[in-house]
Amino acid sequence: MPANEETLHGATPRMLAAIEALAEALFSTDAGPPPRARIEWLSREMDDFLARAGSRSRFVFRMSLLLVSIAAPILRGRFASLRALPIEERTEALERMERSRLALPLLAVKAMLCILYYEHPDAAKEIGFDGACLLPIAPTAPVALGRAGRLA
Amino acid sequence: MTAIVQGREHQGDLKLDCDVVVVGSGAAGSVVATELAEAGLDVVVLEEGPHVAPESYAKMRPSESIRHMWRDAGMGFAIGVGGTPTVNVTMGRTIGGSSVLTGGVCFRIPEAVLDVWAKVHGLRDMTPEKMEPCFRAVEDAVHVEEVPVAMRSRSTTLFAEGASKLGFELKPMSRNTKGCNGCGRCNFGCPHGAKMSVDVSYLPRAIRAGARVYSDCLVDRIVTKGDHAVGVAGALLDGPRARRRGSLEVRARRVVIAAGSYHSPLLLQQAGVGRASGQVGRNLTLHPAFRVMARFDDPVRGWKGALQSAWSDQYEHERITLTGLFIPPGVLAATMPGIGVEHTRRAAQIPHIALFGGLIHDDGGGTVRRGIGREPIVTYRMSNADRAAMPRVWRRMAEVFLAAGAREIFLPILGEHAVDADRLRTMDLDHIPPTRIESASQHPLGTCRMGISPEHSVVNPDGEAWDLRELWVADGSTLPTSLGVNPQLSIMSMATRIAWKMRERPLP
Repeated sequence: MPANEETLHGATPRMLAAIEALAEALFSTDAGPPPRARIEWLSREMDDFLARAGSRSRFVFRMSLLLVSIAAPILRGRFASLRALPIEERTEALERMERSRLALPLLAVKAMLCILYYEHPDAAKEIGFDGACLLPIAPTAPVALGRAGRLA
Repeated sequence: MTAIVQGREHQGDLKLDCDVVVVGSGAAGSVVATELAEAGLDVVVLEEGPHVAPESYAKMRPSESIRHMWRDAGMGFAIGVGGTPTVNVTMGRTIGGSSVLTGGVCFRIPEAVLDVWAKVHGLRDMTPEKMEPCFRAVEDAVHVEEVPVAMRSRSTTLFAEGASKLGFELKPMSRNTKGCNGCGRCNFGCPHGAKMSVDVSYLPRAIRAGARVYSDCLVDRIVTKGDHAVGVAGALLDGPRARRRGSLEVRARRVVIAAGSYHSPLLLQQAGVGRASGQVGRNLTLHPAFRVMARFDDPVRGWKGALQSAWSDQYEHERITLTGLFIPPGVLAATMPGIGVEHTRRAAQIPHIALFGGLIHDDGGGTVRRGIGREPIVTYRMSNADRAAMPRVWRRMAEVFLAAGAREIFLPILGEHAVDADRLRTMDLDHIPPTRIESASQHPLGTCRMGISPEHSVVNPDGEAWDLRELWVADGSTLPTSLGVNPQLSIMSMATRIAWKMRERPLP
């Protein structure tokens, strides 16, 4: 994995924990949640992505994530944060939110998670994606820009 | 030949003098800069975004392109009001602007649109005949060619088969490409240098002719003296978070704003332009677009083939244009309903998914206002006719896919499960709440529109602001109406025309 010149942080540890809890539910298969290493890779990607997004986008994402974390359990009749629920209940809560009028914030978070998650070569392989010029063959760390428009 | 100067690497403040300063290096700014530099003028181009060399964006994953080269990391939006869905609006923020991130689609301004501009907006000098040299100059410069049928993806081929069964044929798309191998990732920056975006076509010409191009330069003020624009001011941006560092000041005899329909009006408002008419920042059109996906029994692998290769104006009378496209699996998965096992099962069907897009030739009704920070607050209200067109565009595309043998259809309705032909027939698509409608736009236009009177427009037919001399606007914001087709070539042709008008007029 190539190392970058600097590691950027766009999310707080609490946000990253919420993102990981959501990702575990969203990307669960019959075999259970995705491997921990992949969730951690996704978390690092999201951290870098948010760091490079504008402040308003970061704010919108943060508010959307907060709303999902609070509202989804309530829609299922549970008064706890999303990550405090077992994965099965998280899934049910998110399904209800997706079908409700509060779907938009969930879509914002889900979209970002999906865009990043399916860039992991193993996740792409699992869904039969083989678009060679869209994806690397191994998981990579986020790139940074260096001099003269080239990558650091 | 001087290379592009990265503002983030410039030490201290930056002060420049030139004949013409161009704000924005996208499809319009690059064209104006090239035309004027080649005419012998001393031109400076300022771009807010970073410089990402083609060999660098070629190596990026889609999400890396989004985070480094898309404005607001692709999360910009226009807030829907009055029964209008909120629209995700994406645009470039990099050397070359959105041109680096389009599918390369090139349409001339439709003759029917030019006719409306002449009859309704008084722009009688913009006939197809008079625009012909502008169209041709751009088409030659960026190598516009038709996408061969053999390069169509299976997704587009299936849609074409369905269309044929319903009695119409798709038309081949024209794009600015040379040597495209159809790998389907145009909108994250072409990995093979085959898309003739302005960073590899126009800007190198401008630089060869002596233009100085700077990245990481945020312009937030037009400098005026009396009733003349005499330069711009702002800040150098530093690092991945684009924080302000040194100050930026460029003195120029002529100022050209080509910052796009979101940011050009903000600069003009700051300079006091259009206070009397109240037209600056109004009349935003978006071409709100919708995707419809279809699942087939056989594999489709829609990512193999040209990203955008065919289109149809079959439903133009319903204000609808259909265009082929495909999107990466992550974006596709994001739009599919379901959480957990249901989501991952759906995602595993992505190789069997075909997709087509439809956009509405909208009337407009959007407004751009200054917000907190650099990005504006944008609201968008569809006309009744535009709202009525939404369910029609979904249904039309679904019917075509069903005619091609699709098993089920995914409509752009959040949380809605796939539907079959029977369910589609009975669905009440006219009453879907706007909060559940998913829409996107890449074509914001019209916020500094061109016209023949200062009461109803922002710039005159040559592109110069009515109430500030030597301030010119040259981007998509000057278009008086939406086009109903992808606007890249139209914007570049308009910019060519404006640049030629500037060349005819001596500098002050």
